[in-house]
Amino acid sequence: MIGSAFWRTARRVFAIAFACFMLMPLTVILVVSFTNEGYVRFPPASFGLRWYKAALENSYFTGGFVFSLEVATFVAIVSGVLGIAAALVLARYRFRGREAIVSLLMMPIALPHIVLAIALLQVVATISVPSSPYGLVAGHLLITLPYVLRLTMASLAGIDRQIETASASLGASPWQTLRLVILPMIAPGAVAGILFAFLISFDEVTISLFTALPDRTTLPAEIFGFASHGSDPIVTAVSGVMILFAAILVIVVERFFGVLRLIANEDRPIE
Amino acid sequence: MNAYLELDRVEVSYGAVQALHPLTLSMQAGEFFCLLGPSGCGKTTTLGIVAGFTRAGGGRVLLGGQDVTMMPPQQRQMGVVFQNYALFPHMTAAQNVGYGLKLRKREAADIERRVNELLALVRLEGKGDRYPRQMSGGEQQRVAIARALAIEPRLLLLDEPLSNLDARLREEMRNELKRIQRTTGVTTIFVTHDQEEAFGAADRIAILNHGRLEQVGTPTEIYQSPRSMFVANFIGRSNALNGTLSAPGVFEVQGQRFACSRPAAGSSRSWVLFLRPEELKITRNPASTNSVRGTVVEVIYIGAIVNMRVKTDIGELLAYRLGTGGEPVAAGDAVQVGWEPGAGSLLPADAHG
Ligand SMILES: Nc1ncnc2c1ncn2[C@@H]1O[C@H](COP(=O)(O)OP(=O)(O)OP(=O)(O)O)[C@@H](O)[C@H]1O
Ligand SMILES: [Mg+2]
Repeated sequence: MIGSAFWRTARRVFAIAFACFMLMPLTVILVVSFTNEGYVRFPPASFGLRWYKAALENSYFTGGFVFSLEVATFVAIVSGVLGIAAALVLARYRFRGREAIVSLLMMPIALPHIVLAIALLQVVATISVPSSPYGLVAGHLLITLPYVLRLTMASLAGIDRQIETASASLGASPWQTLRLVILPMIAPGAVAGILFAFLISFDEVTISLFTALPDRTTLPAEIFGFASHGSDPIVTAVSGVMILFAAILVIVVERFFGVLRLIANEDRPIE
Repeated sequence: MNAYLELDRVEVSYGAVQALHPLTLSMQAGEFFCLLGPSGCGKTTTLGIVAGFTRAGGGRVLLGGQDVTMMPPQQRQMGVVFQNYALFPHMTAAQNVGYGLKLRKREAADIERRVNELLALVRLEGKGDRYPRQMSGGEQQRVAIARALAIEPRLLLLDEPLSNLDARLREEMRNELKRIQRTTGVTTIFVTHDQEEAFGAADRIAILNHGRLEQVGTPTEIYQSPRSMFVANFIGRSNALNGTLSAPGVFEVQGQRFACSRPAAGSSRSWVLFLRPEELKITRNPASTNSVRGTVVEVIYIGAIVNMRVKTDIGELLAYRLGTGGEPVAAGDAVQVGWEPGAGSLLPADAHG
């Protein structure tokens, strides 16, 4: 057909244009972050690692980075455990109110973060615990749990119940079936969910700003604070670090689990 | 000889649906046993009872004399092959086959040796490191059989294992299954709704209908002496003649009288004589005895067999014969359709089915 070559080219052009659109802001920030000047301008007049050095020596940023890392790790683990457990129950058992529970657990995705943040502040004030890290972590869990839950449930839905029956007939206890069959089969989905949870928590600003205490705030909240006072190139260097960090994380996880292919819904070739 | 597997008045109901009416069935060790019946008749349910997937609402299951009615499936040691194979997609063929052995904590070398043996048995040597999705339907099916056999099952249970294969592969796999069953001697229950499959493989066949057992017997018994209207209609093709036994040894259909030496079990006012198409003889000789006059409607050659439809005074009859035998007939010919007094099966017309 004459049309097919045309459409193939059109698809490719569209893909490239779309990728450029998505990557443009990141590229600009990365380029600008290597400026040697004292102001933000694209393209920079001269290049150097000046602002990276400054960022590494800035205790607000290093402290914020470590705190963000701690929070995101904790949030990823907890939402992973809770999300997988909830998905196993919700996907496997039919009971009254099941749909309602799923909707309720998914709701925080739809709620504006600012609403969640205000509500959380009320709660932590009422039970008088420090808003950071408790309110902060609780807020992050609310918005990350739905991702783990949804992705794990999607993986579980793809498992034929007869596979579990087969496992039982071969002598496996329910626990062995879970460990040897179900968990490995849902691993890509669950890991994708946990990766999302980590990145969402690591990038989250609104809840972090609202729950921040002077010495306990996250890197994005620090960046926000700096950026709202003026355009210091140090902010671009910190952003550069965050971008690199996220990219490395995604690549490493992808190498081990092929989660991006799962999200893109492509068949995973087996070597 | 004592039965190896016994179902003793086993009942199953799903809510208001009685999937299995009290069912009693027994099997000998080493038998290749087929459960045959139309869709929804309770075949999978029966298999589920034996494997322990389905909870019996009543009755007992005895295996080798031991009551296993309440035993969970993981303790029953039964190899099950599912219709869609249910292979573990994240394991290679070899890992699938070795799964049951790994659960039994066998040594790695031991497992490997046994897995290779089984892969050879199902003719998949050298394909052990393939994943299920890299295998054809027939190959996946053989992995499923090897996996079920690996645990040295007390019974091999197969639920319509061939229904996803094309006609040619299905026949090949059926023969393969027979061979594997003979080699291993494992007692096998094979579920199918395809009579050709059942007749081609089974030592004995049980015919189920609406959750009830209609008949158990060898393929020959079932074909030659169906014991219910349902079986007579369900198995093969038949000409059903409705009539009465007007005198001893005389079967009367619409005023025409035929000699009939078939035993009539029980008492009934009206009877049905089931005649297989190959039991009917077609001649042009008007003097032939025990026959009815008719006109050939259609002659169709199907391979070696000739199908003939003949319009007669007692209804349209279907007859088969080998293409080479008898006088040639063509549509429109006036013929006599006859049969031996001992032919067919006589069943009471008011029986269920
Ligand atoms: N889980 C269930 N809940 C309700 N009814 C069921 C269930 N499983 C089976 N049934 C019913 O029980 C009857 C027997 O079902 P079964 O699966 O044993 O049939 P089958 O002979 O295996 O049919 P097929 O050839 O279609 O597989 C059917 O009427 C079916 O609708
Ligand atoms: Mg079935």
